[in-house]
Amino acid sequence: MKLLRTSYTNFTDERLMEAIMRGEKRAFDELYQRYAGPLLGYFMRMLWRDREKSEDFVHDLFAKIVNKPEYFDPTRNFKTWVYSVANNMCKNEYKKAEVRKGTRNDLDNHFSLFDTTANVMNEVQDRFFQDAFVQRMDELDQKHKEVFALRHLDGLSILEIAEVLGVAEGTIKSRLFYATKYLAEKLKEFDPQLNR
Amino acid sequence: MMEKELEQLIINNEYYALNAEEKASLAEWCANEDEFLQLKQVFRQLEGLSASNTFVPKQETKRSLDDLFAAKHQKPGRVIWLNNIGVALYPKDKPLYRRPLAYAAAIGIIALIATPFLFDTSLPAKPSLAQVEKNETSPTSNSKTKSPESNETPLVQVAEVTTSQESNEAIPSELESFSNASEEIAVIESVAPVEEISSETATLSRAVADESWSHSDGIFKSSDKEADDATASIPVSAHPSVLDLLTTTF
Repeated sequence: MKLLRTSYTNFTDERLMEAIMRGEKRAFDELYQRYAGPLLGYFMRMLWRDREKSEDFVHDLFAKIVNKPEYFDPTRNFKTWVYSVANNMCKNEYKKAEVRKGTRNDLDNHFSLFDTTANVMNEVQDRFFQDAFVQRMDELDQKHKEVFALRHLDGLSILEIAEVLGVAEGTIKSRLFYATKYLAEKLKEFDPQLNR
Repeated sequence: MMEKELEQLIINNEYYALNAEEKASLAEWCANEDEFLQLKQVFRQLEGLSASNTFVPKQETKRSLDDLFAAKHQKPGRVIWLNNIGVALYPKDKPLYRRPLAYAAAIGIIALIATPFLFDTSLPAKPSLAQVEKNETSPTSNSKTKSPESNETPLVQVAEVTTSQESNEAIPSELESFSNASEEIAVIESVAPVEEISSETATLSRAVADESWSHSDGIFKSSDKEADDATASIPVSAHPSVLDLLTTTF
């Protein structure tokens, strides 16, 4: 018999999921607090910086956790599982976007028309680099972008990325190498040391 | 070398500071110093970017999920344990000995049994305080009865009776506060042994009686007829011990 409220802050993600399966609301709140922000960032990067769509995807993902928590296998790592689900949602969205693209004009709605270099002289160097980085990253094809974002922005290891994407580790390393080299090459113009 | 170690090697070192082994491990990533600097730039900026790139979902998203959770997990007629003390104290899904109410009852019974032993203040029979006082005061009262016999003259008897009365009241006078000067004097007199004072006084009175009942610093002069009565005056300076007693302050 528990007379005191349980603190979930020290619980692992997997134990939180077990508590959610039992219907404990505060466990869900804790899990939401841990992952809602990073997942929103992930969707923002993967879904062409579309904030509304990303919010909807975060909602849908957590709705799946609420409605079907038994889909999660507690013996697995929750982080890789939730990013796998997020990645699959993005893939589905890409497919839908391809269909929509065929029914509309040939303009890519997701192509960024915002020119970050327009006010380059007025920007602080770091802020300018960030804008340029986002733009260059969007230029990467999907498979390279997702690997790079998961590795450097979401902090997953190569092994975790391989598990999330269902791809071999060597392939992940190769994609990561390509994406890193591409970005380094494209962004070298912003390094004063390299402007020689 | 692991990817993470390579990144740290690039971020934390300068190209010229790398040894041949480190350069060989980095050969795949960067063939020359320019490529090394490009990668360093990207990795450094990425560190700041990931830290500042935090997103906060809208409150509506969370509220909607809360409603969904409530709809999914709220069961009709479900008892919430925090709001029901009865369920908390006496859960029916547990055996009797594991119910909190049973714990409380057991503690209460133990306390009830143990209380008489813990707070038993009965002491073995002792003489009461009144009896002790009586025993202590009885010798003084004997001295009071004896004192008139030891004195020869009425002069000394007056002083003796006064002293013995005070010694008879020695214990009560110590317990009471000294409210006036006469009581203080009484206590002072009770300090000295009564018989000693009375004997000295008697000796002095006899010596004085032989004199002419007049002296330069005396207080009192009397005729021969009056000398037969029990009144006399003695210069205190003649007896330092008496003087000390009278001038002592406590």
